[in-house]
Amino acid sequence: MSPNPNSRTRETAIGQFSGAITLQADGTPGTVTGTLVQLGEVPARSTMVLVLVPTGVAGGSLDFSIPGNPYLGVP
Amino acid sequence: MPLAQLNGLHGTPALEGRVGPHVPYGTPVNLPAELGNDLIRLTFEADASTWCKLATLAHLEGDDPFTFENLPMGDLDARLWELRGTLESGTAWSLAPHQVGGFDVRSTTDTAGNPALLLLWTGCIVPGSSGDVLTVAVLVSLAAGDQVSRWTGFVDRVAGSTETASVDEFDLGIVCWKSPIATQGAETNIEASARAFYTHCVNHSDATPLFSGGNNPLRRWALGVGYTLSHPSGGDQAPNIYSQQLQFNSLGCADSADTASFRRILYMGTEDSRGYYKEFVHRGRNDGTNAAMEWRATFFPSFAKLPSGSDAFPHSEFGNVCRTAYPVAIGALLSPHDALWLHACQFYRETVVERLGLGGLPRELRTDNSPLHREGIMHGEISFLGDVVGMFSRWVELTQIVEAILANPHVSHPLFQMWTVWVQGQQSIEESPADPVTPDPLVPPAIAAGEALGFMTFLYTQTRRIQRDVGWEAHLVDKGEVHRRDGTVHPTYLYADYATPEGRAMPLELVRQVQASTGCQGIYSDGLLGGHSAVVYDPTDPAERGHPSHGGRYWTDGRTTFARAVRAMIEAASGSACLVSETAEEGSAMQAFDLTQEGLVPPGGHLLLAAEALYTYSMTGVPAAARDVSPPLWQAVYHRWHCTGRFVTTLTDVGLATNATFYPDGLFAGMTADEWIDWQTYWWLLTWITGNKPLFLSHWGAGPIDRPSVTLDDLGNLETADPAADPADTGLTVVEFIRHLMAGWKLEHAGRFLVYGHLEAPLEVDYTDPLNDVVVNPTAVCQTKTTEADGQWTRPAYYNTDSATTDAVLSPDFDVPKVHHAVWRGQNGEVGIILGNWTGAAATFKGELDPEAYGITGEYSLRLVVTDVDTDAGQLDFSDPLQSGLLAAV
Repeated sequence: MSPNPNSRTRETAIGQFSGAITLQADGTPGTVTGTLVQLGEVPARSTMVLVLVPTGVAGGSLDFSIPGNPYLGVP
Repeated sequence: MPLAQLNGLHGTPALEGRVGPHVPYGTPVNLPAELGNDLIRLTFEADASTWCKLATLAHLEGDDPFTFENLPMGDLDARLWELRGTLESGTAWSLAPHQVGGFDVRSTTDTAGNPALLLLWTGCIVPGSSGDVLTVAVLVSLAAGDQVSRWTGFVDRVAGSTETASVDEFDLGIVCWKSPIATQGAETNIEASARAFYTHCVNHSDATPLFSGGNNPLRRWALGVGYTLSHPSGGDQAPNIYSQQLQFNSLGCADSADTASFRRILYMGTEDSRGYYKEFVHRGRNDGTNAAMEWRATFFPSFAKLPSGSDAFPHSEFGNVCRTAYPVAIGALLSPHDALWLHACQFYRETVVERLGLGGLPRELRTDNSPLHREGIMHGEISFLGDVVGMFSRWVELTQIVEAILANPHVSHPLFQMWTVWVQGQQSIEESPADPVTPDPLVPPAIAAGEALGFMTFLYTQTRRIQRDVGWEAHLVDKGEVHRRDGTVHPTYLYADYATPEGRAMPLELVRQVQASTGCQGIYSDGLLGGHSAVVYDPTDPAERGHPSHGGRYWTDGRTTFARAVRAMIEAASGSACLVSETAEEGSAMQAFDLTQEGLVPPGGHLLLAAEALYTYSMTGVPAAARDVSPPLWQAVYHRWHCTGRFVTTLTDVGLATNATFYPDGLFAGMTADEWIDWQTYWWLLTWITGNKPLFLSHWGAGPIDRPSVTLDDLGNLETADPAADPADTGLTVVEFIRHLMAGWKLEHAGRFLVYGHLEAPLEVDYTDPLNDVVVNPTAVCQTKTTEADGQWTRPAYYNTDSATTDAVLSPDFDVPKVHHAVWRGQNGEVGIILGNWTGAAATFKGELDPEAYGITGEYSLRLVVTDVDTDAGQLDFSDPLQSGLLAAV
């Protein structure tokens, strides 16, 4: 079964970082100045997700068959 | 043995000099056989890298059993070795360093098998005692993941003295007594004892003792800590009814790196020696001429018997252990940023979301690796209160609306139907038990038809309380009576004693008959609060009382037992049971329910911020109006103080000023379209962004407000139901936002966090920064634009912070940000920072991300994910019957 056909998800890679940064939802999305990361304004009545993936973590995948997890996969 | 950890204890030079030989980590060392089970408490301090948990216990040799009560506070370096205690005979004692014969540390394991350090003091002679030589042992459990920076306690101020203790002296972050405590004349034993309490710091990995409704976490947490008070009276209002022994515990900030807030007290609760639980709220009172601070027992009568004439508030029922003219002890939280609330809140959320199964899937679906599950679109839930006649068509209609809102005709959503009027006049044990349950003849076939369409049906029951004088008394072996504070029998209600098989029998029989007579799959048990402490003041005389006294664990455990029994019964009968309750109450978190509702957040079941704490040591940016209502912790942290409880997103137009049916001559004061939209979208975003779901998605077809704002046209498209009443299409605007959020549950958007992740601490956000624009809480409009009469249906969240009254607290008009955020951790190590703008215009946001706060020390990458929802494509295409089993069936 395909995901909700009525929505489209777009991902934008922003960059690689280490240490603390400032996130600003303004300016040009994806603009990085030092430790300042601009995300663009949050549109009216909408949401956005900033995904932080530590180096070495594959990211994006989800294992539904975690043994012992009663909420996911194998009970 | 992790000697480094031991050596990391601050202020313990003697310890460092006496650490025994190295023993391999985990090497079992049996506790000396002579050790008993008396409780002692010791104070030590660990650095940030040291984690340990004080688990047990103590021993003495000699005839007098005793309880060590404290290590004196102050200069720990010099006084670590000085122990104090009180013999059971009442003799105070202390041990100076030179009076301790020896000290040793051994490696061992605790009863759970965790590596532990056994600290032994030997050859202790208590001055003034009979000369007993004592051995004192403390087992420091080193359970992985636990982080307890410091265990400590203090007690035993000198009776009659003028207290001058300062914060610095106690080094606990507690505002202590600036003058004698509640000493109106001679200090009584209870008053002296009341000045004694313990506090320690825990983190979320332990069972955080948060909840008035959550005895179990508290009970676990409280084990081995706390201080016991004894008092023969129930207070002025309940004299000599029952004796009490109270154990006081508190939760403080355990972040030693934050010197400003370390050890500030967040919360205090008690559990007495019989397992009954109480919660205190710190509250200021002022009668115009006198001011006082109180510990108010939330679900319990007063503890302290105040001397006659000394009470500035003679009519107050809030007699307390401590009543002072200054802050006493609890609620002294100093949290300079929201993140410090993480420990409590994370535990809170994990408890609520995971244990309560708020994901909304019945059990059989939880184990289903289905596209539906992957997609994270859980369910739409509908309900109505219509009459039996016509219910089936309405049922389908509402379901179609929900399905259209979800905008995914390709997925057969598990839609639940909660049916409140399934049999006229008998869905509740408030009704007479004389006749067997007999459903309306239309009900069984309607259920069968609905379930054939893929619905899971559950029928409403009400078993939380029983109406008197309708015949139930004879069926309750304990009479069902409960006594009120003044000793009289409650005139209106009986309560089944779910703690006993006899007490569970009749309610279980009701449920059995409901299911057997209708064929429903599930049971909806209204407000079967697993943890809400019943206020019961029954006499101790078994011949007079109906139930054991107090509220607390007896009741919560009983209700949990009942819920499990109901679930087992309906599952056995239907094979696919779904036991549903309402409220996300922590005490319900016992895996007893398949589904419950976060949308209704009863304050009685949640940790409230003590108002005084906010006055005195506020978190930054705490609005005064929010302080006044003492919001639950959850709201304080994640909802920016807004009361986000309440039932429902009401897709109705009755609140609008443009609805001439109700305004201006009806019950409703009339909101503008923007006002109506804003409070709906605000509520929806706050609910969604913290991983929760609304209680109902409906329009409550009850009484005069049976008016949906959206409906389906002949082609299955949503449209405004009454354009004259809702010319601005408010319902459709809200639906569009709901669709966006539903789409946001997709895994590739926020679903892998909101559905499968764990809520983390929020970012550091300066809400005074211009980029973090704020506006007045949009739900505050309901203070003036709705009325009490319609509040049940159209008001947004409110909560009642005062169990002594029934007054609800509406959302105050404090400022809230336009962009809310939440930080989540996915199962694969990702961290998701989710931003949401509930307003009708683009907005900005600024926050500081410290990845180390989320355990990320190295490099990381960032990706920005946005999801667009094509709402036009979201309509059901009823031209293709395969896309709507409902339509095909109808």
